[in-house]
Amino acid sequence: MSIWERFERINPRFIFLLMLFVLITPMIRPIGLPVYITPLTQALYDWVEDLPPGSVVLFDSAFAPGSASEIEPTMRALLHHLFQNDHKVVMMAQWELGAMHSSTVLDELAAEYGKEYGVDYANVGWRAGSENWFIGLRDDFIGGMVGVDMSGNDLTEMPLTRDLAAVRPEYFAGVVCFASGNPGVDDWVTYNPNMPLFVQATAVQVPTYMRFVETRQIEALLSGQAGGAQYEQLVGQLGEASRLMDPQGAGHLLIITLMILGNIAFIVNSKKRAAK
Amino acid sequence: MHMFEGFLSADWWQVWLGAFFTLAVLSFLYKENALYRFAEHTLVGGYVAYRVVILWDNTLIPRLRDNMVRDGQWIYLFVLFVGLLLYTRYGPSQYAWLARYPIALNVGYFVGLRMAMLPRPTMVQITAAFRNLWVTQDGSFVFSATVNEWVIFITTLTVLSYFMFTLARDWRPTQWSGRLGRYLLMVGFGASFGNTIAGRITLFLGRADFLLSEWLKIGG
Repeated sequence: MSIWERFERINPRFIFLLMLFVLITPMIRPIGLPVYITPLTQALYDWVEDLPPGSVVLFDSAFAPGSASEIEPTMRALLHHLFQNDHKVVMMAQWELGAMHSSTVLDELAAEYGKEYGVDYANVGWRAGSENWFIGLRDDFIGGMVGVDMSGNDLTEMPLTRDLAAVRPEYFAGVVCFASGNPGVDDWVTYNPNMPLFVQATAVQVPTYMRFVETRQIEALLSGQAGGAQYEQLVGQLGEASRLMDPQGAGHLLIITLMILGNIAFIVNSKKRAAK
Repeated sequence: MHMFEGFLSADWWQVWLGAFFTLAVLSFLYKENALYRFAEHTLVGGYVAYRVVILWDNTLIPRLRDNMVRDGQWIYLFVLFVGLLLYTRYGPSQYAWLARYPIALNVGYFVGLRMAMLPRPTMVQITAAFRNLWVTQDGSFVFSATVNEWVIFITTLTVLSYFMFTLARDWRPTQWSGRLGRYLLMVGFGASFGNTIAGRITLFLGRADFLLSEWLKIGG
């Protein structure tokens, strides 16, 4: 049996082990691969830089904790950026588990910058009702949230939220949707197209959303962990994403190598089988 | 700092349970086993229970206690009645047809909603397909931008032609156009596949980072 025939029949567990080694090694001994900033990441950074002081930015957590490793780094870096520039953040969620997960991140970063709940940031969470609820927010934000935030505080009594009548550009400077599927970006594009929309999506979703970038239905699109690493570099707050870009690059290199070898094996073995 | 710091505290349990279930799920890579099935069933059970609590807290209680009892909006009784008709499917067969009413209402509502809301974003996409095929800036021709426009223009036309099954396939221009459209679709699938790999590796890295830095206290 030739080496190519052996390669074609290799036990997948050896590939898993090889992948494990390739991913874990740079985590323990970092290589320091460079991270390049894409124009779509830069667009979000520039938008935040150009916001007038005290602008209210709406966060939409449309993901589950399973996707946190792709989404959370950007959320953290963006919160650093917004709080450093004295902007205010209101967090809502199209996914109930996203609301739970994101609230810990928001509370942690707000505490780090000494921000006051109800004045500098608020978390209104998730409500049942899917599209109907979402469409209703366009006309009545406080009513759509049943008048309370995630902890049951009255929205009309908090300085930050009492004047936020609707999810419209008059009240929010823009929305950043952290998306790993539906409901998510499509709902913003379809039901509330006038809101300036910025998206941090899981990598697998990005090709689907690129068509919205071309038409400016999305102003900026950050892709998975790479988007997080780029935003961390821009803000100067290197975190999990920047640290894990080395193993990410090494893993991609291994897969490309395996795909090339696999195709060579396929061609060589096909020719041999045809010759027999 | 070591992995037994804060032994049996709430944080310790959280990290150790997380590590146990992560390793249990990853053990599937070797082969199907009891540990994996235990983790899988625990996740399913936990999520079902969570959904029940969410439904109770966010839908049933606000409607029953707030809307009906407190605010006297008894119209919700009618909505409740229509919703409960769904369960007639499980009763005597002569009443099963009643389940069609809530389904018909639901389908009718969402068809209407989508027909009202979908044309706008779709039209934006369609108008974006009309490209400027000769890009100039400050009066001078921009080659790279023009190439980009042509790529989008040709891709849109050829991919559409691939899916136009009523066109005669024995005519050479439609054959070539369809074939080019198929190749360009493959390029799109390749981009999706590459992004999927990036996403899957990130998911694993997230768990590996948790195991190394929070459980084993290595690096981080």
